[in-house]
Amino acid sequence: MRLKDAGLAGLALALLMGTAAVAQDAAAPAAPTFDYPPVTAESLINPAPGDWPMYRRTYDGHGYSPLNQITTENVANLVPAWSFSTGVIEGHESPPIVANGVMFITTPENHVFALNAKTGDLYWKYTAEIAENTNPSHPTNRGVALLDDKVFYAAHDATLVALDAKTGKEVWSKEVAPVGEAYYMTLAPLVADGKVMVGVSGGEYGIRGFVAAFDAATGEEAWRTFTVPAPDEPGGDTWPAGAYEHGAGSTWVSGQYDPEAKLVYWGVGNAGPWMGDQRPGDNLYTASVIAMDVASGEIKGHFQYHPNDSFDWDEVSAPILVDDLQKDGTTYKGLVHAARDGVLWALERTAEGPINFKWGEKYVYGDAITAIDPTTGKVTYDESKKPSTGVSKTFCPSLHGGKDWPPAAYNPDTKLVYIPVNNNQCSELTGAEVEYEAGQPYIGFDSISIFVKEGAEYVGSVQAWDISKGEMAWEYKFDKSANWGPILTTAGGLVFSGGSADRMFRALDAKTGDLLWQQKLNSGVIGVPTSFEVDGKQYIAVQAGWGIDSVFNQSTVDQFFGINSNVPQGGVVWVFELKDTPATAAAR
Amino acid sequence: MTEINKSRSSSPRETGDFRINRRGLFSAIAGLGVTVAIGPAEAQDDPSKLPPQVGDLLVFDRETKVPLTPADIDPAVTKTPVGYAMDPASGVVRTGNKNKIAIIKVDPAKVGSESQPKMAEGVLAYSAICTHAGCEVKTFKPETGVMLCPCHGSEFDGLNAGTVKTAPAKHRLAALGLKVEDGKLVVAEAFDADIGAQG
Repeated sequence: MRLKDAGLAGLALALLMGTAAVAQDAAAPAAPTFDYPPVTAESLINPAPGDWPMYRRTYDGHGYSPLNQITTENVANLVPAWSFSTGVIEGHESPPIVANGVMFITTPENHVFALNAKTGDLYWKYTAEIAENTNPSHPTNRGVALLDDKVFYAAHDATLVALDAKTGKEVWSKEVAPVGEAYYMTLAPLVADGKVMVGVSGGEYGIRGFVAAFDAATGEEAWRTFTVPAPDEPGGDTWPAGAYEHGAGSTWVSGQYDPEAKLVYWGVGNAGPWMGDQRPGDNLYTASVIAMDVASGEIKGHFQYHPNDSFDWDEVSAPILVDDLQKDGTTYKGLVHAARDGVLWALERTAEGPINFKWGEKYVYGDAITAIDPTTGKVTYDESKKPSTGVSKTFCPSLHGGKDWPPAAYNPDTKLVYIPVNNNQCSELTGAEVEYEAGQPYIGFDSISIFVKEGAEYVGSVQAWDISKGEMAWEYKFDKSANWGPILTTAGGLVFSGGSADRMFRALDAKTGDLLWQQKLNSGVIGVPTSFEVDGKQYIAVQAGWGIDSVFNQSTVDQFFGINSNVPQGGVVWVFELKDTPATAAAR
Repeated sequence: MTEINKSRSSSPRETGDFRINRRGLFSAIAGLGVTVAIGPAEAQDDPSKLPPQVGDLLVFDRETKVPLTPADIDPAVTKTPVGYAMDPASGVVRTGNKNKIAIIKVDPAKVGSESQPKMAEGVLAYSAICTHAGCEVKTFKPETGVMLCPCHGSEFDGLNAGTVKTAPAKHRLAALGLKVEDGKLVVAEAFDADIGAQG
């Protein structure tokens, strides 16, 4: 019997037997198997140089790769090694996470892919089936977390899922928050101390924000810490009565972790509703960083970047942990945060938890904040620029801020912090009364806009700052483009980032900001770039796929410069390697 | 408590594709004050939660409940007029975000063929809730009949069935059919598409 007939006969038999499953098994090839040594807790504290096992590679949030095969000398020889179409159109923000030569990426529409990091071959694809009435805002995802033989993923409908790393099959799933109240999740989970931690989105829908931790093995909830305290909890007196129930304080970007102090640092978003005059008070812990005990979730310290937030300046990016910072002749362990509010903050972290102000310096044009107290770090507002109910106010930086969700990076060799910046943008906002209705927007405004300030030369840039000196070292400005590009920095002395409407993915000299290499990709690059090593070879990986907030923001830049960016959309995983020289090719 | 079905209808299987099924209503976590979205069974008990019904009048003010006439709609506004439907018999106003109605007045000569039958003396009515992420389409452009959502810039064509003019919204605004009876605006046809955030 010919092969073709055998196949048809098999199918016919299966149909007669009425078992579609049999036909499926007979027709589908076996999924490729691969070795996957369990990811240990120790390896998360000290990852192998060739691995990138979490959002920013390491708990300190540096986004730094110790690999140095690709250097300032040879990066001009970087070429594509392989690419992979995700089949999804919207904005791709997640990093290629790599452990032991296996790459995990996530995309919009609730997919997780496992790929061979060296060849780009697909191992498995998982798709979460999400609730019908899920909040459709910000339809993207920022990546997975790893521990043991599991991959942890936050599905959009606020369900935390643990997958078997080798098969993509669900091991456990936990509903983290009620979809009916418009909670959703987009972040990469954080795994530490045997727990998987997640925050939530929904700050425009009257949620009460929190960070929750679940046992990595079983999914059992370990603790839940609200970012908006009840009246009888510490900080509860910074809200009028009853306001805390819908005070927002979302937590939609992954936290960082200090394994020595066993403290988790999480960034907290805007307050709800948007107008601060509708909830007088500082409104802790909105627009703050909080330090939580990893075992219990108890808040041990905090710093509020700006009180009574009325600007939608979510301070959800957790600060980067940088040791050996200098100020006034002393050394301190620091937290560095390039805030939405336009200030670059340097804070001191302590082992007991409290967080102290060290200095703050504006890194973009801003007129709403007029002063920063040199001792406490408390900001002073120009009230004529602070949005309020029934009045139109204009303020800078814009709602999206000097830096939005795209992560900054720190290079311990150059001792510079690299920030994806949007400068010279402002907003107009007219506040309004609003009634709470479960699952519906709870914002309160009559008009809102983002615009580029008159006379602006540029908007998007990459800035490099020396934190100990408190000075900007260099700035690489984009031409007629915003910057929505997360940053990677490496021991090879390089900074990798995209973020611009021209679809370029760039390598800059980490010391000088000189452009050393660039490649035009299929779409604008808003994915987090990572670097990994397989079989002794270093690779640079990033997802290209423009979308989500970058689209609206770029439209304001387009309008200002009188251009039409029209960035094409579509997700592709790009992996780059050094092109063979005759010597290396001969050696293989 | 009303059970909310959390499973999507089936979609094509892919090789190596594994799905998870969600069952039951989230209720396990205490202290969150879970508010369940009201399902159809409960809405029948509460007429204020029903969508606009044929025969309803339109009002701007839920307290004074003054029924609107075509003359009450200002064609030159730049802020989208938003009103509600009201049961004329009981005086119950249909409230909630999903019951917000954008009531606009345009030049009848400019109105497209799909919207002509829905129009009453130049007045058209649409759901005021942007189909992208649920914000109100707060801004109106009188020259073009366009309603703009300030949250992410979506624009809808009020002259042509509320169709999407500018992304990121993908779905048109649902339209009500209107007529004039005893000089007042009256709902002649219920909303003709889905309401609210659909991504």
